[in-house]
Amino acid sequence: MENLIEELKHKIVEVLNLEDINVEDIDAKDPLFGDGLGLDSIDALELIVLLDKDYGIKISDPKQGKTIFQSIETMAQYVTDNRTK
Amino acid sequence: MKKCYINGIGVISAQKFVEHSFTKDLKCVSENLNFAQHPDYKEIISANQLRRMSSAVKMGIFSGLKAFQNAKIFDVDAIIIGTGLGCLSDSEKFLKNMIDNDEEFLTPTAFIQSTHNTVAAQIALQLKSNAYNFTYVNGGNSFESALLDGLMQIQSEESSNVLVGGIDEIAQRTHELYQLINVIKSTNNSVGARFAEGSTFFALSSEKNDDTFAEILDVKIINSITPNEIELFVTDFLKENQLDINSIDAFLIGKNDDERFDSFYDFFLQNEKSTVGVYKAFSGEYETASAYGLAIASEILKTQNFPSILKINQNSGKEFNYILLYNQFNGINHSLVLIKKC
Amino acid sequence: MSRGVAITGMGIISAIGNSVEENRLSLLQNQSGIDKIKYLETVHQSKFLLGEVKKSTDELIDFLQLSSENHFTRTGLLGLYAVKEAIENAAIFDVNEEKTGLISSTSVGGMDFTEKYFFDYENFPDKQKYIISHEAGDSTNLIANEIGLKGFVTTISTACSSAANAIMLGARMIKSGRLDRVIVGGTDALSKFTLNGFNSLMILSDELNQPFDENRKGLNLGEAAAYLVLESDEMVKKYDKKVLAYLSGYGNFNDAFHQTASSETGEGAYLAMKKSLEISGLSASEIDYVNAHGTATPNNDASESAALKRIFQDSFFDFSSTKPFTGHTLAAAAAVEAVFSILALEEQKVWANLNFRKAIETFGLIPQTNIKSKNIDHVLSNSFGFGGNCSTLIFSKA
Repeated sequence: MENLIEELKHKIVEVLNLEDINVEDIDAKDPLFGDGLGLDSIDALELIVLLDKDYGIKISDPKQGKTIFQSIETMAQYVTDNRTK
Repeated sequence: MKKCYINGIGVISAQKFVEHSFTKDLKCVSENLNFAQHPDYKEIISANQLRRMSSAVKMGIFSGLKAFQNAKIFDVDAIIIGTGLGCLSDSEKFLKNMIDNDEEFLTPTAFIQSTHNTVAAQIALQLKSNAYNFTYVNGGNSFESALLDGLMQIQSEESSNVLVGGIDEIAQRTHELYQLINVIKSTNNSVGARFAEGSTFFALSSEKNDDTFAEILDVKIINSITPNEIELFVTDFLKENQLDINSIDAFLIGKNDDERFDSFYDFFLQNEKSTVGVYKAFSGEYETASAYGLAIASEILKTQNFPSILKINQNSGKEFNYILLYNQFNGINHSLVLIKKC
Repeated sequence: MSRGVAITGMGIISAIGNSVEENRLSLLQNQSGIDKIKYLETVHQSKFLLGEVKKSTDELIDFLQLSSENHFTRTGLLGLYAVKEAIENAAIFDVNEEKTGLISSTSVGGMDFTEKYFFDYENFPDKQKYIISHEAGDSTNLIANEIGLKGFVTTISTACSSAANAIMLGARMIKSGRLDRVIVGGTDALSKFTLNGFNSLMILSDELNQPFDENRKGLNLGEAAAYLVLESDEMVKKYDKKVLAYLSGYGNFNDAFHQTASSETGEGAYLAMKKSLEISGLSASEIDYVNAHGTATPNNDASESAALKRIFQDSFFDFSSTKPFTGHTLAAAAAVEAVFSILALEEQKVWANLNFRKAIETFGLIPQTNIKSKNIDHVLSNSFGFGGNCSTLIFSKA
């Protein structure tokens, strides 16, 4: 799980172009949206594609993103439970 | 009918970025594709927002807000943009991904950012402005279309303060294709023009102040005319404004180094009285480069100094009251802009 | 009070017909044009439904009798088709006899062609003439050249409100005296770029779109072109023109909320509607029919409902979205719906909001689910685009 969390941190920074943020500064429990990393609904869609492309998880309803992407930790748990790649 | 004044200007171009004195220290562009010299965008735009932005969007927001700040206006009634090719690099990015991945795994950011009105929308978001918001995409007179709209807004009193701009960016593949069809020079000896990118914004107002650059009197565009019809195009336009050729102290023309279109400029070069200047040697060519020309012309009227580096004829005036700008792009989309000293 | 700007002609090609009359008939018969994909080549062919124009690109070129050297893409062809009908409808035989302009709009431009050859052009020299057709303004220039117009020609591109803005600019050019006549509208062909773009936003439905329904899943894309001819009162008198309707009000404002999503309160939409009423001098209660933007996305319909409630408050108003007929035709949408609004005035009918079953719980607004015959003097038409671009037009009976 630790490895996956690190992996996700790197992927998120890359895919969302978060140039100014250091991976070390992201806490796995920090909220990704709103006050935490300050991501928005477009970023959520980007992350949905990331889950499909890299982990084979298909999400058809964008509203599911609210729970899945609460933090890197919740994301890692979801990937662990649902990955097909 | 209210008058329309240029009170603030913001420029990002192939020249070194400056906030004032746009006609100083000009250097000719030397490459076939000349990239803009960018300012530090973080001065105005947060890192979180910058991460999604293409060059066009960054340039547009920055120069737009600079014009707004320099004019010391606090509320804008209209935001109007002209762009020839729009947000090209995002468009190319999405298209490439779509083709490479056979329509799978596509992410929305590039698609959203590729819509032509992204710059205008982002400026509205930055200013939290609900104001009238238009984007014109009509090749070489995209900027003049926007300028005319802005002028009409002010004249009819629909608006008191309008932000108008022209932006275009270089994107690798599209510009490669333009070289393929000789719109852009591919070698030093080939046909085509030296291209660049840039963003020029104007804060227009119905009220003048101590920093006003010039007054915009009129704008006209026409899709298609022959070189022989240029004289009538100009004289009719001046007549509509109760002026004639002798009233014009200087012409600023959009002549570039593509000789195929030189004949459109003959009428201006034959003039025996007025100063004739060019600007594309410094801005490079792109569909909204004429916005840069207007910035140069505005500064000339404000300072009453016509730098010799811009001149291409021997006439030299002492006083500049009226400047007429003429431009065309690739043989079509002609425009005239008439400005006056304040 | 001025009646507005006179509309003397219109032309349209859409999923529900290749002329004004064919579109009228389809509306009267509740006949939608949305179907399985027939013309667009895409891996998503079996998944999505589209409102395609029922003519292939080659058929359009043949019909318009263009030379083989032409470099019109499908967007331009649809545009030319509709512009020609509009001019004929307005009985204009010499397009340069008065100060005339063409203000078109598009979001796709030549992308429908570009996406086929973008990385391959070097290998297809005979296709290189289309490189310049990519840009939005090119289709407008080609149309102007083909109809022989030399004058004020420009193109607006503000996503899904584009054609409304083109119509608005045209009206202002007439009112200011800069033009006597202007052809205004928009065109967008379907392309893989747009289909995949909207799919990446997860706002496409794989079923027929259901505007204002609690269970709406998203939009169906469509393609179309539609144009109006606007003329000054002087021209109407000089040429003894029949006026189809008047453009009596218009407004454009920005939501300034998010790049693609609309605000919960529908601020931009509310301001645009309010402004259009101010310009027309009408009160909300005088609007007999609202042709809504109603794309059937969760976000738009909620935001638009909020804005409609702010304008109409507790008063009842008749409204429908006609996108179940044509699909969402992007830049052309406002022009298509302008034609439908004028047809509503001519037929004295509110068009049906097809596919509706259950009202959105938060708002409880119920659109007209079947054609309603009533006295219609004024129609309000909404079009809202990405970038928070919100536009409203009001059409009044002649």
